[in-house]
Amino acid sequence: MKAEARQGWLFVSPWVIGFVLLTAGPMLYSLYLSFTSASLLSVPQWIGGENYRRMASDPLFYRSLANTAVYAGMGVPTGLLLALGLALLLNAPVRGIGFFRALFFLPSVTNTVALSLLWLWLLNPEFGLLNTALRAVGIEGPLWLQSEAWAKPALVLMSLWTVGGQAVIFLAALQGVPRELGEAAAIDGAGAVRRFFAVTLPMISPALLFNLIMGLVGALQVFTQAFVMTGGVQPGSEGGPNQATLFIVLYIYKKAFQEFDMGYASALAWALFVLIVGCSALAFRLARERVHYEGGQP
Amino acid sequence: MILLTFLIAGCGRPAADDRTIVYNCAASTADIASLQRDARELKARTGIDLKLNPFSGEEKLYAMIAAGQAPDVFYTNGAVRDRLAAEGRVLDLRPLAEHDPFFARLRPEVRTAAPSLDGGIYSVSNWTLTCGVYYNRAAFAAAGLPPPRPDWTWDEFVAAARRLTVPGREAGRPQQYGVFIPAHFVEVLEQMNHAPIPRDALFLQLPPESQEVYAAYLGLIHDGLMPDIRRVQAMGMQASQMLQSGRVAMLVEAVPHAGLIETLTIDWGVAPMPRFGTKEPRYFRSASGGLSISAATRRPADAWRTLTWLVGEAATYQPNPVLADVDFAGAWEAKYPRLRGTGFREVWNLSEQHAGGDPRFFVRFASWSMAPVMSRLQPWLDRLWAGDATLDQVVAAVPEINAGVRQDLERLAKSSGLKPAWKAALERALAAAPKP
Repeated sequence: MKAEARQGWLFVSPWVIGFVLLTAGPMLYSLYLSFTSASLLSVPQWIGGENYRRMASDPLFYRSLANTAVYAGMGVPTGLLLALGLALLLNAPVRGIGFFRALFFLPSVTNTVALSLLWLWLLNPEFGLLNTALRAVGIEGPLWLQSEAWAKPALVLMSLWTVGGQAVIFLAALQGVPRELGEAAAIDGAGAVRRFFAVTLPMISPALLFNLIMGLVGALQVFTQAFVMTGGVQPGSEGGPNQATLFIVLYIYKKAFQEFDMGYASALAWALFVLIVGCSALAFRLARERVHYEGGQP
Repeated sequence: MILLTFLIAGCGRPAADDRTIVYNCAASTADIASLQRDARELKARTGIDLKLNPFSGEEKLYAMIAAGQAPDVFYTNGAVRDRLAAEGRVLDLRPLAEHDPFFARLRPEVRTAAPSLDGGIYSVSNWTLTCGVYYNRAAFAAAGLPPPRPDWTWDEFVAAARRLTVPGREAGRPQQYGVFIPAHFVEVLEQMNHAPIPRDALFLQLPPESQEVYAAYLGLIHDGLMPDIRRVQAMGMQASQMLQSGRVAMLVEAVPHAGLIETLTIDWGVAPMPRFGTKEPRYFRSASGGLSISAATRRPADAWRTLTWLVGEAATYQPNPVLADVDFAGAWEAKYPRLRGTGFREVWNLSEQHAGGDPRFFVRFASWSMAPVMSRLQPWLDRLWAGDATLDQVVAAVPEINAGVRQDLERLAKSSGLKPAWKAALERALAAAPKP
């Protein structure tokens, strides 16, 4: 091995060791556990594919999947649209734009537990800001987190608070769009809307794909806000009203740490992993014809 | 360098004369400060070093046990205790308790509740409580009502709630509700109505006496005498704040309740739970939670001494109602003089005379049944409180709930983790239970 290569490995070794010991190792171990009847506290016993067969007939697995899908289905497109709209506004050459960019980005670096506690108050049906505002215009607001119908929309609403991170990525992409392309389109008679859809959007499509995939992965892994805001999975609060916020990660947590069913929880975690990989692959496949990379293929 | 650091860190071993006992205490600033003072006394009297490990959730405890870093002494409720015992993670205290006069100091019902399914004793109850109806005396006077009698009935209770409900400006939103009963006290009412509540049941039962109670409870909500449970939960208010703020005139809560006593500034009293018709009262008496000792402790004798000291001597937990030789009501009144004349002593004494046991879900179901039952029942209860399901529908769902529970239990009985005695107990119970 060349000296340069050895030095390279030496420099990356802290990360490689950390990855093998703390990420790849536990992942492979959890794959093994998914084929066992391991409880949190006992020695695992090999049971083959029993956990996966059980999953196929587990109504709560499907319930949690459906909850997660609805949350992702509502939250991801809304988040992308809002982030893109915000980025377009933040791209405008106005005075003090730096302040606004920082302002909108700030919530995305705030701790989720802190945000959850803040939103618990905002969504409080009696004293919360949202229902107080609705009451001022003669509308009696819903029970939000205590309502089966409104619990998921409430969490989606909260997730929109943190679109600043996605907006910054869109903003960077928008600033990379060559000005002359827009000018050329304008000379050809294209209006603002046409220029956006025909020039800007294709040019920022890689950022759109990136945000879509990251948003999807984040939405499929939603946990903290549901755990904090809808009472976790304690007896008496089984994932929100009528399990409306029993998301798949919350269900994994419940199985692993409340019921000690580590083998089954590992199988659920691998099912989620496959789901995320599948969704990401599908997004890449669908994007092949639609995402434009400057200079040709990615 | 990194590996070397791990190696050095892993080489530590406690000294042979180290008498440190780690205790998972409640993560309350006041308790921790008080226990730190108590620990100095324990050290002076026994030589044991008490190390406090503020407890922030069962998951942390399980993780510590799984990692081989279990605290020596920790709190468990009945379900957790049995599950840990079934996996051999907590010590059977019988050999330690046998010759210790401390065990004889415990109240009879506490001693009776101690043995688990295999006959072992895996925890010692560290507190017991009943519940009662806290009420606002001024609201009673304003409604022209006399204070509740100790033998009042459910009908009288509802009539009082009706008189105490003050209409608000908006229709259907009273300014003051007559009563609030948190949902987890419905089980207490079931017991008062003589619903048959077997201990360690494998399956859910909702007999007619329980159904009557659920119907009566829903009646309070539908008649506008009690706020919508979901709205109260969403408000994030402590139940005591509802009484303090005048939002409700009566409140069912635990007795004794230090937090409530310390925060209420209104003129209040407390009455026994109402009886159902002429049925003999069966007051709620909890003896479900307690202190356990890790099976991995290096010093069982020191851990046991610490446990008995915490329950019987540590000032933080005194006077302790689990001790038979303590006049708890008198000592508690001495600690909180405000209690005199509130009815606290009468409620406490009645609960001792007519102790009905602990009917709560996490006690009445066997440890392995609790999660399978609750994960299926709770969504139905959520729908019942929301008015999206009727009581009849909930009752009709019981066989389906129990079929799912049986499936889970049969799977559990095949798992490898359970100790043979527990596995056999589960298999026997499953064989004896009628199939849905």
